[in-house]
Amino acid sequence: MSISINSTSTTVSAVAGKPIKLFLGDTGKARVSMNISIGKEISIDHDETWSGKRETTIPGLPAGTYQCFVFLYVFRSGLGATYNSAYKINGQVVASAKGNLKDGVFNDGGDAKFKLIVS
Amino acid sequence: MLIRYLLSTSIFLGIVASPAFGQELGKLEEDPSLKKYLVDVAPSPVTAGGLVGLSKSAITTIQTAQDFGILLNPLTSKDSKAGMGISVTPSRTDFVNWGGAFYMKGKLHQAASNVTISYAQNFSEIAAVSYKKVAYSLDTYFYFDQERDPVILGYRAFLNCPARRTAQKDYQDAVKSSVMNEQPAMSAEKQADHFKKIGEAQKTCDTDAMKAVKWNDSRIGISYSDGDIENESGGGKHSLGRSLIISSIISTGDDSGVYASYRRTQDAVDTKSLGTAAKFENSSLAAVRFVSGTGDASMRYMIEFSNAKSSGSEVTSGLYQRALGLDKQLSKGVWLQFRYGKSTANDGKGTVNKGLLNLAITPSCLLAKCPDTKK
Repeated sequence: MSISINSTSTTVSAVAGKPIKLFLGDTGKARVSMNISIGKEISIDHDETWSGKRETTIPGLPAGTYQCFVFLYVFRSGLGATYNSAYKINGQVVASAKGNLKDGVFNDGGDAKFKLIVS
Repeated sequence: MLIRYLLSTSIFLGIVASPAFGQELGKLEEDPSLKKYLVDVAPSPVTAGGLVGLSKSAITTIQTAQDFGILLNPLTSKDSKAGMGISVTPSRTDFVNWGGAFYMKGKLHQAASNVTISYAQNFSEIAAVSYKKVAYSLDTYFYFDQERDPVILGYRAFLNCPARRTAQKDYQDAVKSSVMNEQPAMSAEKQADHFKKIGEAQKTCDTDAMKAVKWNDSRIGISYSDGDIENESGGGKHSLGRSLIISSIISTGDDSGVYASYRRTQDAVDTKSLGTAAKFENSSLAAVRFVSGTGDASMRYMIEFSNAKSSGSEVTSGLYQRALGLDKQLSKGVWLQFRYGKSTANDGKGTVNKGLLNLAITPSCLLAKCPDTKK
């Protein structure tokens, strides 16, 4: 696993009780599967990156600190092996990755973690 | 003449079928496939080759998008020597960043993404004078039903792969558990093992999906070619004309199809007028080919007809009016093409019966090393 995901910050903030907007998207040539997970309960997947971005809103969370993860899986396609992925929370980029699978590699991936502070 | 022709080529076949010959070809591989995601559906066509006489068929087969393709000239034809063609699809390289979302927007976007640029050159003798022909072409194509497009089939295979999703979830659960339970981070070996399982799951889904790809899936292609002919000893350059070609293949069954192509050429020099006052002409060429293949698609039989006239037109000189043929896949990516039939004479005087042998090779991954995958 060698894809490096750039986390813009180790912590992200949100307002208690206010819905949280999530964004997952990729504009590369590879087939890409993305996941953003918040705490133990919330897990949002996006495989249909060729059909567009995924924007979803989750209900507001109680005040607290939540461990979050982003996962990225990249697979070579008939068009190529580039990826250009972004994850956003409330419009703020929390993680991104851009690159190309190495020659001879069919699939690869990466993950990153950060904390969501709801107050 | 046919028997002599076959005997002389049988030795050649023995050579090219050997692994040593394949290695001798070095980087000359073939595959009209988008890396591993197109099946080996046909010998690589290089559209510019049609303008310089690399292809003696009136049929223009549809260019399939690939990194890079090479067509070697008729190997036993005395009509030309050392002809070759190369092609590249820019969007399949890293220089053009049109992603999957662009491709999925529709047929126009698929056509844009499939644009291929090709170059071909050939040499021939006309009235004891040696000439060099050079041509360039721009081609594209799309499938009538985009769900038959191998690129999109691969994407659907990705979306409909529960085994991959399960393997991914197993990895995610393991990562989250180790972090939230403050356990040691997953080892690199364990990570690699998870990703290997994820990859294998997707490969299985891809393999199953690609079985649905057929060489005769209906599609249409458009190309534009432009070229020149020049006396190798000097003495000026003349245009081979500008050609617009529309070609298609229509599926007529599980293993059969009909190719049709129409070529309109403007201002092509009449090569018999070379050396004197050059004359130019316009022409139209239509052709149809019926093809039937074996179940494993490694051999295809065909019969073709064209309206090529034996009237001395350079555009139609040397083209088959009617021909029988077969394409045989020698190995992954290497195709042998054989044709025999009635052809317009190269000198424009009537017709001749002629045989032709071509070797079509496309390096599928010349611009990037591809994983070793099976069809």
